[in-house]
Amino acid sequence: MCTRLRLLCTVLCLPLVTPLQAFAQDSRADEIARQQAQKNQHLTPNTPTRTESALDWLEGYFTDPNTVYLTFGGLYPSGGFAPGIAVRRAFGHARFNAGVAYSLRNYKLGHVSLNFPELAGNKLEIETHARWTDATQVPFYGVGGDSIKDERVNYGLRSLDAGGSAAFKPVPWFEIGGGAAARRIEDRAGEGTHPSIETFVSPTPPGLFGEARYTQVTAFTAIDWRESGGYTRRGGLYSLAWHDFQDADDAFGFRRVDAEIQQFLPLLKEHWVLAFRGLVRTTDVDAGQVVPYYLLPSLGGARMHRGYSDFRFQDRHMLLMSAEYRWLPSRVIDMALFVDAGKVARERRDLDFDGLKTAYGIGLRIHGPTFTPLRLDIARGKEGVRVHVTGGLAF
Amino acid sequence: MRFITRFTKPPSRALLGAAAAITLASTAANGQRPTFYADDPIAQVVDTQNASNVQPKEVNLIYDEARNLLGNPGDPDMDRRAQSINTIDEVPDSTWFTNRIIGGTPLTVADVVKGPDTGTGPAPGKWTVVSGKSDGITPGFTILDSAGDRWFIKFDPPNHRELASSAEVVVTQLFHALGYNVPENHITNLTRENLAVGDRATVTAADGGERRLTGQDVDRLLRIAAQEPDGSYRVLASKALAGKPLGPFLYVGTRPDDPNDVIPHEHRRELRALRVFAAWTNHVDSKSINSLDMLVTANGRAFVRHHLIDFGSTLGSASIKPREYDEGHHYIFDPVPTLKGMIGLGLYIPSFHLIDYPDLPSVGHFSADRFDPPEWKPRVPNPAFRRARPDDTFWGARRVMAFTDEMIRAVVKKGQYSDPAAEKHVADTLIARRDAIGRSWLTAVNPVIDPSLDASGALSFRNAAVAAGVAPAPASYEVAWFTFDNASGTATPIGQPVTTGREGADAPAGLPAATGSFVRVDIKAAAAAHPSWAVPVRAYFRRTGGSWKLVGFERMPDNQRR
Repeated sequence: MCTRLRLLCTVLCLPLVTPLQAFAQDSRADEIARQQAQKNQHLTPNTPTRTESALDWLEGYFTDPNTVYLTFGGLYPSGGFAPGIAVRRAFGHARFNAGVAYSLRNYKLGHVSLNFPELAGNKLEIETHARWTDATQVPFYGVGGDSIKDERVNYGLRSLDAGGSAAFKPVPWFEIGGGAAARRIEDRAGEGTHPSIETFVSPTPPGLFGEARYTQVTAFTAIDWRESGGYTRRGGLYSLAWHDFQDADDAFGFRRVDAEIQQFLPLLKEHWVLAFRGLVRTTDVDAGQVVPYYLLPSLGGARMHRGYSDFRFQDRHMLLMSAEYRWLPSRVIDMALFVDAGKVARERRDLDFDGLKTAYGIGLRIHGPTFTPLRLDIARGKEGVRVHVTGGLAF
Repeated sequence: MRFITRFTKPPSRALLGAAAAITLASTAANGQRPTFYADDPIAQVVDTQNASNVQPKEVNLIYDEARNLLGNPGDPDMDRRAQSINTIDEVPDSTWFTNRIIGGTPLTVADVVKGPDTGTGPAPGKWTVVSGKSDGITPGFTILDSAGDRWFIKFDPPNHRELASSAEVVVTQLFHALGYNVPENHITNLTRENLAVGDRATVTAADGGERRLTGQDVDRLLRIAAQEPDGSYRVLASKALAGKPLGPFLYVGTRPDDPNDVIPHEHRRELRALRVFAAWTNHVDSKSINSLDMLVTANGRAFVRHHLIDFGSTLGSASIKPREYDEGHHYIFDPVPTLKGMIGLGLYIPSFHLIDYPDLPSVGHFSADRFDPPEWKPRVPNPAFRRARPDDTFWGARRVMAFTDEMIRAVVKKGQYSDPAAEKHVADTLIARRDAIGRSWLTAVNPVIDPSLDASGALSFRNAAVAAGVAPAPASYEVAWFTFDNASGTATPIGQPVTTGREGADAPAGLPAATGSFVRVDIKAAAAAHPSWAVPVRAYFRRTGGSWKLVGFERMPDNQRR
């Protein structure tokens, strides 16, 4: 306020003082020099505003490779809002990251990783990690495509996972690699408003209350010519991954193959984009062993079939197809009409187009050139309308 | 003097009254100050105060863009006359701007092509890499050439060889000729054998992490660059500007720690008219962070020199890929068309989607089709552009129209497009967009220019729109004569206005003859297609040594607002 008063005084007094000075100056150059000299008497530091300072801090939060930062989500599907705190450090080629998170549904996460993202002239990426998860109320509806929504039960899951992987990228659009990890998974009685899994009527979920100790070996390859993984209007992704879960007790060993195709077709100078995805997950199991229910391929959720809730359908094999008609009303907003169709099956030969669970909907996405921080999808399936507010694209 | 610093925030009207006093052309006489000083019109503004204490400050991009997108920072009076002009409505030379294409020594084609260049690029010999930037949005590295000069090396995006580097060189030369301070940019070739890694060189990774730079990093960065058949790499070399970097300037307010920065930037004509030049060259990224202030010491004085930098996102290039189709037509977020698009289910198709771009990967998306200069938009609203009045855009359009076809083709040739079709398309498009600018902005306000009054009292002038061939000659001109009291600012008619069919008129009887006397001449034109030409321009002459000297010119005085 004081500053403002002084300012107004200055303004009001200017006509009074100017004539005196004007007589003392007889040139435009003098007048300009006087104005500059006058300002020179009252210079102030060029400091950022509070808002600017806050944004500087926020920007550092996202971009500083050496910082403590907050996390939101990414704990475990069905975990709900999950704030956390983590620290990241850069040491030469190495990137260290560690943190904890806690969800409103009492899910807990602790994680630490050491990655080397730019080895061998950016052709080799190595990642190592250890991760402990405690999920308290993961939904289970039964196995098979005819499971009933109202028979939902909850189970708890504790998982400790440590391992690493290496990806070789001879060219930016191709990668091949593999990894290994040790995993210990233990399911428990569920918490929350739904009954616990031990009350599930029948049949008994495979692997119920049996601790699994896995050595997991993975091989993967992908051709990826999308503009970026976080947002694209053209290109495609064709990926194949093979996982071998070897159980130390030979009770829950199995193999899983994930195959995915994504294709993006821009039309009319990117006014429209047609986007397609096909995803298959299929498992093989050795005689006398089972795939535990909590590792069965599943359908449902913001990325795995928007018409249904997380883990709504589970079985040994899964097929998901999605198509989106996207239109771009602005450079930072995309809209989409979409349809998801998928199924789970006991036998691989049943992964056909009969009996698909379908849903359709409309979406709004706010995005940057390479990322999608906000996605709102509203989908209608046979079990009603589901609203997904999340980050990242469905595919 | 705090009122100066307050201009960094949206000022009140009271403050702007003060701002009005800080102008190079205070023509509103108050009875105590003359309207015209003896040295009017000034040709140069000198920074008189020592600026050595100005401190570096970066601009937060999100903050700058958000407040320009969501608000309207700066003077709430959107129709205020520019304040960096002299008494004849021109921008004097300063640390911001140097008259070149108009107002200075006439430029030849060779001058325009040479631009700010002091040589042909980094000095031959071993180049030492002192830092690098990994695979971020714009990878590149910094070198010291064999002469010890620092250069920033930038690459074209993969699959679009020449896209950004050619655009950067072409537009750098154009903006230099227009009058701005710009860096020296060269397209050059480097070989791996010529590069040495400095002892303390570092590289910034994509995630911001910094580490020692290795030869492998250099190899990787070079893989991004377009390789010539002889094994060398085509890159853009941008010479480090002289002085100490102080960070970008804002397009609003003044720098509070620079004593010589006394005019709110949104009221600088050279920044308002940048809208015209940006529209011409499709410089949609004309935002604060693409400017750079440097603290320079010369002749014992420290002052701030203001530069425009980074022209890689111009013409059809968006630096890292071809220009987005809506750029130049919409702001990055434009509520009305966005809402139309959202509810239209994609069936509402903006006209820019119908522009047919030739398949020229080195050019990207650059066209004169559907180019409507007043409708052109940068990515984010610019406070100075928003306040550009017709007299500002007219001033800019005259400069654009001063480029001959030959100049434009020669500058585009300097962009070293390897495809002749690309070179021709860029030059043809710049020429077509230049002409569109002339048609739009030379005709939007009374286009009378260059008034002169000879010793015998014969008045002559020109019509910029007619001279440029963008409008037919008006049916007639009306000339009104006044004696003018420089002390009081009072004008007294001399006879009745006269109508003339030519670009000139004879003075009426009664024209003062005493040395030091002033006359004012109001000139308007009768052109049915251009009603704005009926608003007169005002020319002021002072009798000096038996002749008349033009000392004042107002195309749109503040009291003749739109």
